[in-house]
Amino acid sequence: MAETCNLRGEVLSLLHSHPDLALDRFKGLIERSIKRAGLLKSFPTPARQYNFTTAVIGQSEAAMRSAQTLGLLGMEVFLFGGPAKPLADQPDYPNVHGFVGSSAKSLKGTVGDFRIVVDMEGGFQQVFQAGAVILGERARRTIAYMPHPDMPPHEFSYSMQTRDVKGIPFFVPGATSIPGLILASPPGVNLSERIKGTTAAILAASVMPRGPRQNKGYTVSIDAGLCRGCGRCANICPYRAISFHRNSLGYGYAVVDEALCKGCGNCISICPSNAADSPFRDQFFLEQIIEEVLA
Amino acid sequence: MENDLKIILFLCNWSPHAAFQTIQDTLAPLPLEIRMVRIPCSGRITKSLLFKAFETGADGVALVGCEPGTCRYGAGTTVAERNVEDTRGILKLLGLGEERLDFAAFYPDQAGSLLEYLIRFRDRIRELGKSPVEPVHPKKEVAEPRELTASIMANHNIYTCQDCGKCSSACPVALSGKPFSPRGIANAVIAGDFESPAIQQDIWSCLTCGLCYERCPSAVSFPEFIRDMRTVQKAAGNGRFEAHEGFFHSLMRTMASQGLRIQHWNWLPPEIRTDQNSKTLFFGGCAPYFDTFFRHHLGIHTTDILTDALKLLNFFDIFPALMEGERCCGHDLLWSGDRENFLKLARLNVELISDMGIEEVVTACPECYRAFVRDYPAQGIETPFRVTHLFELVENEIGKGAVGFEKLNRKITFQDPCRLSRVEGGSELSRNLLNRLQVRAFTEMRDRGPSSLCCGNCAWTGCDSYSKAMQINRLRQAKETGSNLLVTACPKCQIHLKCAMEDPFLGDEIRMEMLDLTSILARTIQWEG
Repeated sequence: MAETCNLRGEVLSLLHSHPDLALDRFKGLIERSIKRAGLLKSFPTPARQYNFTTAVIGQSEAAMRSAQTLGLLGMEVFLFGGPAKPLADQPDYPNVHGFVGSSAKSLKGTVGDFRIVVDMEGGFQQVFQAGAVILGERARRTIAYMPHPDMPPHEFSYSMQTRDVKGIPFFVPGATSIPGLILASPPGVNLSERIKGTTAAILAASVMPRGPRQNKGYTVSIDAGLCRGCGRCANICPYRAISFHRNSLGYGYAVVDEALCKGCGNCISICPSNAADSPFRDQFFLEQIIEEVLA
Repeated sequence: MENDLKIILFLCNWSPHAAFQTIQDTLAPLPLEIRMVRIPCSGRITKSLLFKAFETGADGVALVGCEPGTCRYGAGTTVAERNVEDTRGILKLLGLGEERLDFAAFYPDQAGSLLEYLIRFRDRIRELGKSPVEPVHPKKEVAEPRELTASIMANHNIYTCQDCGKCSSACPVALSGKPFSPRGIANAVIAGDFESPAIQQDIWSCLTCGLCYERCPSAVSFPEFIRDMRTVQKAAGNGRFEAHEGFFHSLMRTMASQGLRIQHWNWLPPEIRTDQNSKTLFFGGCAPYFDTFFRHHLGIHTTDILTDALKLLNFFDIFPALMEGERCCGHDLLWSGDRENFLKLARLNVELISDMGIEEVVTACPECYRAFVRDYPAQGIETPFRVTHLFELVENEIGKGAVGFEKLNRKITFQDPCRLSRVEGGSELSRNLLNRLQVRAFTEMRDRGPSSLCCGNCAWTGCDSYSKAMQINRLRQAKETGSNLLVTACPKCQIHLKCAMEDPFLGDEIRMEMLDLTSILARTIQWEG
């Protein structure tokens, strides 16, 4: 990790008007930075499973176009019907495996590690793994995103940020708040179905990691011993970076996927038992900054 | 430095930071009192950090984030606004002035508006003046920890331990599955191990509920031993085991500042009759702070206990005095190892109460009661007034006759507060009243009275997955009785058990309505005959 401080903004701007204060602040910044640099740790590399297949769910023009584009790019594609309409035909695209008569019911997971529950033609259920998922418009409305089988489906954002509307994180058009979950035909975008389908395919191809994921140094980790399993963090995290597991005592505990965590820290400030904290910029660190700045 | 006002600006890394850098780069006149702390998102800053700034000596705190609808992470603005609202409520109760804390949001190109805002904020803080909070700088322990520990062990009879293990077989922490044993701790400290990480951690895991003392054949006062060991550890700088990131400890230490114009009672409903010339004082406790802090999460109403307690007093034609500058009794500071600030709070409270010419203090809070009756005298603070628990007073008044209770169509069970059930007669006191109620059924839980299980936390320390397991166990016991109302007699029991009910997996299995005994009494009491 690195330790940085903004000398230009914090010191140089005072140099002419308040030279003594500038020197004071310069000393403070440098001393604190050096002290903190002594505590820096090396980045851990989170272990994570990756699957590079894309699942396309739906048979609209945009969805078929996504499947075709990815297939032509040489990527492996699974094609399923949506919850309401089983897949009618196996299209003649390279690298695209259509499961005729299949109907995807629900999915869970995030980029690199989705699991899709599919009703197959023979009347049995099968779970498929995929690295990215593209949803046709009808599938988007009917499929359940179920991160935890024992809990109700999770709503995900797919509309773009709008002024004064809270709760929608930033993402590019066609993407959703779940990394790796992409819409073939995002509502409110005025382009042809074919262009939207192609765009979704390119998005899916580009979310796949090109090398091992690195911890970014500012992610959150949850102390399993302190976690009381209330579920607040899992609800507030827009990126589904937090998954929920049952412990031996019969209730839940939360785990952060460091590859997905963007480090916003909202889970920290709503955790009732100090279980969630950033290992690098933790409560103690911020308390110390406050003390040093106010000293 | 040309002025000594101190303002902390918590600045989100995204939109407003871009605006802030423009201010710096254009050498715009940024108020020098403002010190910026860069953060990843305005939703990152906990209530405890917002408050910590005030405890540490800030005169104003601004949390600046992104305009609604532009938060990079979606949730930040909402979380930040809630945290600020709750913390402002606390500042208001403390009489610090809620305007000292503010939330604002900007777009990246709004350098001009951000600068105007910061200047305006500085000017407003200037009008409010310096904060009356006296920052606390922890002192380093002077005495030798080993000698100190030896005397603590002697004071609380640790050396008389017979190693029988009755404590560990009853200890709710041990029974929750946590590797924790009072007997093991006693053995270790007798053998001279005070400093191993395991012992240090154990000292903060204990609930100090006192069940072990009930069982101990040699009267080893384990909870008080733990309490004093915490004081040693705290002084040595060990022990960051405070729950809620230490918010409540910060709050209590802050309340020890003499200059605060606390507004403890300004929320009281108008129908309550009080009399500032009365020789009887009703001491409420920290419920208003609890309700404010937990407003957005637990939605508890522990101030109802205070209102209902006053209604009960009014019912008996008692119109007590209230102390506007009432501070925390300090119980939780003492029991989490901060004796120094406990003493400050205790002296302030006793001084204020004495100045009012009070002869009797009535309280409905088991912790305040225990602090006044036991801890104040034991720590050398004399209380020149009588202290009565509300239940004692009610029992006395009912004894005079002509009082009965309306029917209440509920099946109830009772959660004993440790600090009441383990003082002499405390457990019978609650039960006498419970048995007077006209409820459909009153069924005791498996563990009851002096053998009752703790609600899971004490003095805002040691909250973890095991305390949750303990609480689930307790709530299951309550459910087993077939009751549909869990009666408690301490605001903390309500807070902790309500928190445990927040569970996506268990849900309805452990959810149960709760009500304080004081409230049931006040709502069903009536004149008869």
